[in-house]
Amino acid sequence: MSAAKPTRPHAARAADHDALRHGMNTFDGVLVAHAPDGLEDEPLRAFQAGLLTRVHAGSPRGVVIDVSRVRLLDSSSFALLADAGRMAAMLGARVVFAGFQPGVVSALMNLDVDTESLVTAMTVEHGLELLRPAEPESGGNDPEGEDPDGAEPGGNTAQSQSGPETTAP
Amino acid sequence: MTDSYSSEECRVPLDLPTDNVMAISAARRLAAQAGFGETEQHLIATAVSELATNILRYVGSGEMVLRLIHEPGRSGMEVLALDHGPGILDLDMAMRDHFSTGHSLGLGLPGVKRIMDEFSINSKPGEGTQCIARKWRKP
Repeated sequence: MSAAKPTRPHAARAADHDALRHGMNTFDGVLVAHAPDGLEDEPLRAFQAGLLTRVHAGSPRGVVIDVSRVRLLDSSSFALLADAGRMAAMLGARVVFAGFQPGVVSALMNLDVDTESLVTAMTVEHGLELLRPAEPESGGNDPEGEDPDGAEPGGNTAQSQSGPETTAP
Repeated sequence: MTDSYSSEECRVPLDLPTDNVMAISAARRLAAQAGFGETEQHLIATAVSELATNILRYVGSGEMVLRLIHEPGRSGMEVLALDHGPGILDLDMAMRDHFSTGHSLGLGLPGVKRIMDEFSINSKPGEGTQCIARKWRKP
């Protein structure tokens, strides 16, 4: 069963595994995570756990939770999804929910759930834009001490195509 | 004739946490069959999910009966949620927004009422709760 000899820390491997399962990708230091469609607790809890692992392992600057595939949300599945966002926020990532569908929005309004605390964007692209770091102007130094002129912080070379892709039809 | 009748009605026993999914898919299928648009199908499915989740979470088991309803000049869908649990002690309170009996967000009953056109609930302490909600298709 074990084809490849494990050479990397367990957390990173687990994060990769979850990333594959839940479709999480990093773009330019921002993690894009696709929320599962469905009202069952289990996939949503797995999504929470996967997101938590991945954010902790990868320390992304921000997280875009793509909810565009979610067609149905009731109050308890919404709570699980919102909790996923709060978990990532507690780890220090800025979180944006992207792509709520009109049917979902209308259901959530009817259910009167509290959506005030959510930062939202129309699309993943808009979400990524919201999470773009402020331009390193003079005097506007980040207290975190990150070198604004430096190259991309190490490691994250796999998917750093930040430029707009040519969209195939 | 039994067949055409049963295709307009669906009983979903609620015993396992995953039975919620059965209720939701049945609701979507029937709502589509009734001619509801996609957004309304989703709203009805959401209401059904709220009711099913209540039963599974607070009572543990119960039943849902979903059926198409016809009246002269209009048709729609009816959702009946039944359980034989402890009942809801304070119905007025349960119908209030943001009412909650613990860690969850509440019973979601005001939401169900808003989504559906008609809503009635009957609950006797110690005997159970019966909830009927109807939604009519806009012509």
